[in-house]
Amino acid sequence: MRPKSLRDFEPLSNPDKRCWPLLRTVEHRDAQSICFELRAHNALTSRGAWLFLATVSIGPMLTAGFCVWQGFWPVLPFAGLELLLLYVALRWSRRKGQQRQNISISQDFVTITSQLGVPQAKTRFPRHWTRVKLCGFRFRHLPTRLLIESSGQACEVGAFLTEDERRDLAKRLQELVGRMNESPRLPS
Amino acid sequence: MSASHTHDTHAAGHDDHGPMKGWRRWFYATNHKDIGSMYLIFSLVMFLTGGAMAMVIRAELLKPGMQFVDPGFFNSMTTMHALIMVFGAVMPAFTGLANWMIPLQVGAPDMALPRMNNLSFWILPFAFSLLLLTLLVPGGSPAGGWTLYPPLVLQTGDAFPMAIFAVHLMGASSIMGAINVIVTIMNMRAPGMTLLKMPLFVWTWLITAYLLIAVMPVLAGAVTMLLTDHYFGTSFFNAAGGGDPVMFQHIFWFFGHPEVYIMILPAFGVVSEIIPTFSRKPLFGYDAMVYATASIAFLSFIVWAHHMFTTGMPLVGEMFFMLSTMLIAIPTGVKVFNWTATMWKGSISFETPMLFSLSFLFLFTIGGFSGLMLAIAPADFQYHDTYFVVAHFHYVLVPGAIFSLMAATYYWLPKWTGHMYNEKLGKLHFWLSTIFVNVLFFPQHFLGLAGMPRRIPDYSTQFADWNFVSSIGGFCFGLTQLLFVYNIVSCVRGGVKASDKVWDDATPHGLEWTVSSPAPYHSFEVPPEVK
Repeated sequence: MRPKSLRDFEPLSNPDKRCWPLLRTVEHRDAQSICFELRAHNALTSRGAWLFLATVSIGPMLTAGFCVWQGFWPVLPFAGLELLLLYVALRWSRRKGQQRQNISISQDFVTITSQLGVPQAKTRFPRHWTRVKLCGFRFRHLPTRLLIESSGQACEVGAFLTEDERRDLAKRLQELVGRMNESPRLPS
Repeated sequence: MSASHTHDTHAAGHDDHGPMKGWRRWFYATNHKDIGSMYLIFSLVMFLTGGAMAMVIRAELLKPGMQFVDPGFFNSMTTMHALIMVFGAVMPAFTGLANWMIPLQVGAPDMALPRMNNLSFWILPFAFSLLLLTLLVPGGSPAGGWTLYPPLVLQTGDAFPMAIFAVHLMGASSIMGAINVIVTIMNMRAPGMTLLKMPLFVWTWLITAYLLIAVMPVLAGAVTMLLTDHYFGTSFFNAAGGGDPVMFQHIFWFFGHPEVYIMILPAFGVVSEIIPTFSRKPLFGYDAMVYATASIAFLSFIVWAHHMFTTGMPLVGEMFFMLSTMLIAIPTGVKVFNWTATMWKGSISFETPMLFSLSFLFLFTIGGFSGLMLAIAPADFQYHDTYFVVAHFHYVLVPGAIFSLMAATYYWLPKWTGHMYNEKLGKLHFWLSTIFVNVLFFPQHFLGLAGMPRRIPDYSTQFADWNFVSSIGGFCFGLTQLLFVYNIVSCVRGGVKASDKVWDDATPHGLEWTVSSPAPYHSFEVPPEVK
């Protein structure tokens, strides 16, 4: 069954039970805070990626090797460049799919931990003086940007989510964080 | 504060920046739908350009004797027509379909590498401008045929390096497109979308992308060697310097034969989507279709020398290439059988996409049969370089690849635009196209069997009647395509609103029908559920 909203998502404690878009956004709560874990998605495992790359490389490399053997060496650099590009593309796509962000909302603070690469970045805003803003909503041709702002500083979250997921997350965060100079009661 | 935070703060200052307006939206496009549309429009323009060149060819061949153009220009037209149709019309059209449909069909928000996607498209207008500009340089454009055989191609004038560079650019664009397709399919499928749940169109494109990866370096290497032979004194293909011009043919056809499948496998995918929809039945033998596609792709690597039986090769070589070519009939037969079995006892309706698919099924099979005739080495000695070969590959590529593209356009156009096209006009386009494509190409079988050589601007009077018929068919087929353009433009500009499912009375399968019509700029307002 597909979750209808973020409230229906499986808790993080049961990460093995996978269904769309559980892999992307998970909400869980403890006594002090409510946490969202945002995760991008990779369909290919690391081992699968290597296996795939190796399989794909066999044909071009055999062909290029045969051409070199026959004296037509200019085929080899083109084959090599192409496979290098495929490797870079796969690696880039997989790294993008490994992005993680945690948003923790406690009584006093909103803490955002981003692992969009290395190292991990942590940002903490006072909840009372924080607002959640979904920008670009009225524009059809650009993806929206979800910003958590406080004291003139902003942190973008969920850039890798789909449009629908981002809007859903924005709605939920706005409920929990409230507007500037507001601290709505956290659900127990 | 972290670096990422600083970046975010900076970005926050641009909250109100809107969509790029005018040409910027297209020039800087990274959205798969925008890029897909650009590919499709570009390929349509190239189809009309290459078609205009075909009209020049058919006008010259309308009657025996020299009519309108000199023989050199005639040969330029045959060469340019082929290069433009193969690299400018058919391949970009399928890449456009891939851009539009693959993310929608696998449940991905976009292609894996959007900026590379932009680059791979924008290379194409430059490549084809360069190719078309060769018509204006001293010595004229390449006239040695699209196969670029040395030493003939080395007689090209100033256009030679331009043509080689254009071929390199086309290859680079194809490679980038293929890599994007591969990474999108392999890494961006929605959870639950396993490989054997993917739509056949996605499967056929995955295998096509693999073929591109495997053979494009061979073409790039081959044309680079032509260039160095011409300008840098190497002798890869120069017999006087110890090289071997026949080896160019081997290398070229090692690329060229899989290239044929690069143009036809996605067509198989399209037809495998359309026939089940309008037969109101699931595709018969999905797994067999996947394996048959993979088998065809594999066999395409080991049959290249059937294009060059007449160059002379050992008998065992002739036997091998003859039999391996005939083997392709088996997986292709599996496909034709499965499409037919899908329709068996189905509740078939005959909307325009289905009509084009059925025409594909019949006429592509005719092209396949003439291919089998050509595969027989002793018979090929008679048919080689005659109009029989021209008839064969045009039956494969026009009612094959191009009809499938037309079917795909009619099938998915309402999803792209949100409007239904004019069905009556679509059917008229279908009937006229199907009639005239046969009037155009079927007589060429007779011409070839009677011995008319290909690539000649003048011919003996014994070939006059069928050439006249063929030319009339060509002009009518060309004019008919204006109906297609008109129907597309009208559909883009307005029309009856299409529902989300589009084909409500039929049974379309796939995630693309779960999004609204027109498909939203950002896919999947409701996240897909793959069971």
